[in-house]
Amino acid sequence: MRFKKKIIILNILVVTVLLTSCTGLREVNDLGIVTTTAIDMDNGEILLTHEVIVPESNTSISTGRGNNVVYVQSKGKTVFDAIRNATLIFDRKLFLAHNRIFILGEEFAKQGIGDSFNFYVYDNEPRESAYIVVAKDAKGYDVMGINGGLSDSPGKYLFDIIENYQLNLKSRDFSLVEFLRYYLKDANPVTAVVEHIQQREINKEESQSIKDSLNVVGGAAFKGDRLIGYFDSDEMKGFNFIIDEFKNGLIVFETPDELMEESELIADSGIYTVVEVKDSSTKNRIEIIDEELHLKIDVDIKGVLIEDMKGLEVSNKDILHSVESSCSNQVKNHIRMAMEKAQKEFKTDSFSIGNLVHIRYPDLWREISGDWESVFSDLEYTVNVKTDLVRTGLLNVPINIKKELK
Amino acid sequence: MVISKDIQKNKLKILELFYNSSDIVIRDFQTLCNTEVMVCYLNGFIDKEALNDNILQPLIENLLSPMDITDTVYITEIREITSYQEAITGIIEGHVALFHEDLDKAFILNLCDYEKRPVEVSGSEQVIRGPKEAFIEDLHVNKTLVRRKIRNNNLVFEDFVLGKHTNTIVSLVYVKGIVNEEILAELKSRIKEIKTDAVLDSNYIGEYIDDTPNSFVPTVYNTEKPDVLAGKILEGRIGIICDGSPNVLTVPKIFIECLMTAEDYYLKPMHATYLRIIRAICLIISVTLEGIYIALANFHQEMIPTPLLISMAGQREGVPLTSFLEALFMIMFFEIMKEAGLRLPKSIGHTVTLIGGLVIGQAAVDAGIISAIMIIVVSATGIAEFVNPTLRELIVISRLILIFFGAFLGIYGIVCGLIVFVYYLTSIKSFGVPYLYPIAPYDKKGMKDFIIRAPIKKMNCRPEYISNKNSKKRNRSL
Repeated sequence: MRFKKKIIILNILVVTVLLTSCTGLREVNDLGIVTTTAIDMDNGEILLTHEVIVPESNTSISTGRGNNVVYVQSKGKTVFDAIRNATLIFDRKLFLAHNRIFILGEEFAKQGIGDSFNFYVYDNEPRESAYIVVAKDAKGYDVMGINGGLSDSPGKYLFDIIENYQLNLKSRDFSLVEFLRYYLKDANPVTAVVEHIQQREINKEESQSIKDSLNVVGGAAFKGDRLIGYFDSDEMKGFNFIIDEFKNGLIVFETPDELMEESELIADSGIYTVVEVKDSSTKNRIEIIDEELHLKIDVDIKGVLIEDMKGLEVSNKDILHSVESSCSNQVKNHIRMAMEKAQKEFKTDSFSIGNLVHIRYPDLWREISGDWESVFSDLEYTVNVKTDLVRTGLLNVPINIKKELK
Repeated sequence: MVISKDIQKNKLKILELFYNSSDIVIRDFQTLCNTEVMVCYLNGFIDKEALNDNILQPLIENLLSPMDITDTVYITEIREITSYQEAITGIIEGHVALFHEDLDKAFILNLCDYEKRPVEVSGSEQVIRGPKEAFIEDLHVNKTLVRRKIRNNNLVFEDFVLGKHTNTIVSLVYVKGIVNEEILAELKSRIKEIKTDAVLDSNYIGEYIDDTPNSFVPTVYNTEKPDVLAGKILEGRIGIICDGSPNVLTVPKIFIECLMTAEDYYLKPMHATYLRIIRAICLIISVTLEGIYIALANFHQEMIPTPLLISMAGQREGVPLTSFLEALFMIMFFEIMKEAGLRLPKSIGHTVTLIGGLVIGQAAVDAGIISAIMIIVVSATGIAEFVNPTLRELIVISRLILIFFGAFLGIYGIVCGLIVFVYYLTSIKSFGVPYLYPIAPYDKKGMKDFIIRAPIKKMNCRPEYISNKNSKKRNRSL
């Protein structure tokens, strides 16, 4: 009896272990570690370009800067088909778990991307935290292989400049999981954009060479899963304010003129003032005014006066208030530009305003949801911005005001 | 057999019983009253000067009647015996047997004095602060060392003679009133059941009284330091001192004792706690790190940060062995080096470590046989292992098991292995005390001397399961 019991327990253990254990042992050096994937359409077929890291076999300190990479291109009817076709031309199995960026070719993005991303959610390897960027006016693979920074590999370079979004809100980071959230809710995502730019290489040689870089300024507006256009840098600022993502960035505006009379200036050719936003919060409210839907956008900014080209006497409270209101006006402009573009050009609710209506007026939403886009295009809105300058850098008096000699 | 009155007969009998062994010394002589007296002893076991001055001289010059023997000799310890067997036992223990022709009994005189190692600094349990002396091989010296720590008539030594051929004296030491009588009775019954011909080290006893003799988990604690032993028996444990061994056992043992050192109580509580946390971390590292590395490298590459994975892939490039075999190879090499360094004379030991560590380790990486990260993992594990020397057997074996689990089943296997391991530890008892006390069963009072070492002022209770019930270490009335 005891013996039988032991056998049963042993069987249970063995079965649990064998049925649930991780299968598919693979050595690290059998993998092709993919860091970036570009997805394009080519004659109706999916064209994938993978950036694969070349492991340095020498264990001594690696030569030069960063890793070597190779690019693997393969075609197929679907994404997975293309990935598997890569095994016919590339010797290692592509390992997608470390893929951190999907670059979408413009043509591909315009055709709709939702169907193709099916595989990346079905499969266990790819990470949903990978960023999605659209290659502006280009094929996805055109922006690969460009390393304009100090990163190890071109993929890492692109990844890092996307992450810099936190310092400069003229762009945004947008991951696959966010895309899915929008996609499943029938909302319209705005993803990051990347474009190839060329700058002059700075060196002391006679012949001028060109340096390739990437620029991630702006945002790509999608309608559902189809690309419909781009927001430019100022509109992205407004966009980030509306969706309450503007946490740290600059607002550049013209210095109000009427304040300049009293102080005597050493230099006065500059006209701009810069406020660095330290914290901002946005509250969007939807209301019905005169039986019409009305959107109220209230922005509350805490900022630092960080640059001032025209010698503002910031210790004066009136001047400071005036600067604050100019800053608010500039933010209003950004927001209006973004709204204008979405309403008039894209006719698409990129800010998920419809969601607010759904929450506040569920009955009304049922009526108008089918026709929401045309309602949105004519939506009235007011913008209120309150700027609060908490500090003025390290100085109370700008350096270009002439000081009286005693 | 009863001792005879005939000296010559006695002499022949003793010689016969020792099979004319060359180290038996027998000397017979005439006393003042013209009677014949014989002393016999083992050469080298006794203080000959004392024998001459305190026994032979008074007997020869002053003995008037056989009845006066005990009053004539100058000696503190003397007892009467009547059989040859007792005489033999006495002689073997290093005493002198004294026969007189008019008596059908003999006397055993304790003049024991033989060569022994001086009390020195402990070699295996070194401390920076606190008492440094260590036990030696001689039982009597060891008893003295303990008694000097606990000057109290409640301290009891209880002797047993074990080993059919070696007749080794094994002494239980405990403090009456603190010791748990049930555990004491259990230990005594286990010791009485020992049937063996030889006891050469305390581990001979340890294996007989062990609760888990077939397992790699140590359930008997051993120490070399009298202060540690005193601390243990003052908490209610029982010490087992074995003649001829400097290692003293204590039972019952709980798991956390492996992470404690004597120094914990000689340092400030916060520092002691910090050191215990370090030791606990080292225990976890030394058991699991290699298994986890292999599991990650073989199954869960997505869990490794990208830059690390790239660097690992680069190092693995061109390495002919799979990571599992690579790990086994390295561990084997490491164990060989450890064993070689341990067994060789000290002067050569350093050379072995140097050649093994530097030359072969470096060369293996350069030649691309082993990846550098594997060397880092194995050596980190090895160093962490040395932090808990008392747990070595447990660490070495459980680590190997986890490597197998990790290599075939991934992290899932590691988790399963650890669950089974902890389950097993929970099931063990040492003399009725749960091995994982005070976590399982949970005891709030016991937690004061667990990973956190509370200030001595705050540790008022002895471990409930180990010591006598309701005994307090200290309170206002003490």
